[in-house]
Amino acid sequence: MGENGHSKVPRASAWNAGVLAGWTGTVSAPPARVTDELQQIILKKSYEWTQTFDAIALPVFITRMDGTIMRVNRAARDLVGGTFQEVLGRNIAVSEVEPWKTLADTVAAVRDSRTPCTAQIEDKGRFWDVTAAWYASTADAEDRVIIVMRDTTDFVRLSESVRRGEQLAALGELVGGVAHEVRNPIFGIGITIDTMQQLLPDNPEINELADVLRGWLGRLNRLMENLLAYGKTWTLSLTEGSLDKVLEVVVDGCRQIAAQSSVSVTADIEPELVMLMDTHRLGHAFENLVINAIQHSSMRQTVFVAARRESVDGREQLVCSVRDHGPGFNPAELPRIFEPFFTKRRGGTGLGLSIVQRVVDEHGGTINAGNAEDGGALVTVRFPVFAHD
Amino acid sequence: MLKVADRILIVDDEELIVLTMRRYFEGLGYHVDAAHELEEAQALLANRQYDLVICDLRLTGIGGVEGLQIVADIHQRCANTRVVLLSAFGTPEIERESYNRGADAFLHKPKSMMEIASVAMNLLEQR
Repeated sequence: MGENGHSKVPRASAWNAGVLAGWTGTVSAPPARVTDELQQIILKKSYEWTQTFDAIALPVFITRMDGTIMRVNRAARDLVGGTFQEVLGRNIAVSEVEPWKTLADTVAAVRDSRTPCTAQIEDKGRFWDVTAAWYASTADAEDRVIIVMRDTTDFVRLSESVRRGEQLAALGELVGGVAHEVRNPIFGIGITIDTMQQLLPDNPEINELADVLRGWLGRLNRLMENLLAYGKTWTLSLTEGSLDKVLEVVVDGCRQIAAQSSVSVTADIEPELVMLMDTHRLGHAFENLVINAIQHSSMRQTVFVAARRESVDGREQLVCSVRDHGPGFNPAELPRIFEPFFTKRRGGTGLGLSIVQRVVDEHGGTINAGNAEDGGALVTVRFPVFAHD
Repeated sequence: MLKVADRILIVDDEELIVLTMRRYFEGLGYHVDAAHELEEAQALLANRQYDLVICDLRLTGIGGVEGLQIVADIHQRCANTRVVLLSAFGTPEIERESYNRGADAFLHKPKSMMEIASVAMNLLEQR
């Protein structure tokens, strides 16, 4: 209060904002009614400020220069854990782990440099960008640090996925080119084995070794075809075809491969499973599934391929399942098995199942992988049957 | 009556593939000639009647489709000659184009000699 009974402007901001509009004239000691009004306004503003502060989804901390937390918004409180009372007064170095370690370092950096600082935090798959600024406090003459954290996990994931996509495209182009060139040598080796066998017929040792060589060539060829299928942007050429015919060709081809590991393949395939398909790609996809099942089977086990027409909610579907009696999928890995390059098998590219998923998807179908009730892996593919005009 | 063995022309720019295929088909009792490039094949075709031509689609560097030229030539001039195209780079479009120009079979590499010979024999029998 001034000595002449005039007060100074009670709150400059309040005046400037015009919230006391109507209260004009000489500034003098406000009557009690006005003091109440001012308090109400301050309370209201404080409430608004708190609500606004809490509504900010980014965690905001205000600390002393020594790191003592003076204010937090709701997001920051949730990040620390506990009630507001429990959080206030603690040090920003809540624990030795992230993000607290970097936050404490950032406060120290602001204290020492008196300039705004930024930092990036990565912890257990989460990412944050941190900005820290300081201001001189008018309340207790002690400076404060304002820390704003931004969760950039989604952004980082997205840019990683874009970068990975670009890398895969470049890799695909390279690998596709190489795979094509490899076809000629594979062809050359194969026909040389055939011709040698023609020259030395009825020689059991040569025949056995020739089959071993063909087995290796087959593996090399499948590896290459998978790389080609993955690397290339395909234009799907859909024509009407029979899923049963495609599966029969696949099963016949795979029986020879299965025999080399003393595994048998049995099939229960309904006839006339007509659908729109890219015969080559679909055959390649099912070959991947059946060979996968063979490779996860032990000697004398059976791989079972079934296909039938089913009606679900009045809609026709073609359902094909491939099951083995091997160890089955590891439940922890199930969510990732369709990811490219995810493999636990020696000699695998990790592309097989991801190609299958892509091909099934291109045919408007769905694929499910899991374990059968009595053990072994079970992969089920469903295709819609579209009515003819 | 003595039947004269069928005559096959093998066209491939890879010498080792020509050598192997020639051995195999000779082993089956055919007469075999070979060419490594388009002009050489065309010269042989102009001089002699072949029962079957087995030709690689690509006889030069990247992007070549010389095999299509050979197919078209044969289709126009030698109605009795069957043509099998082989390719490591075949797309559905090229395969369609090959049949349009008169190819009797289009095989994607790799294939075994037994598969190639079986296609070849079927074509020769159909004549």
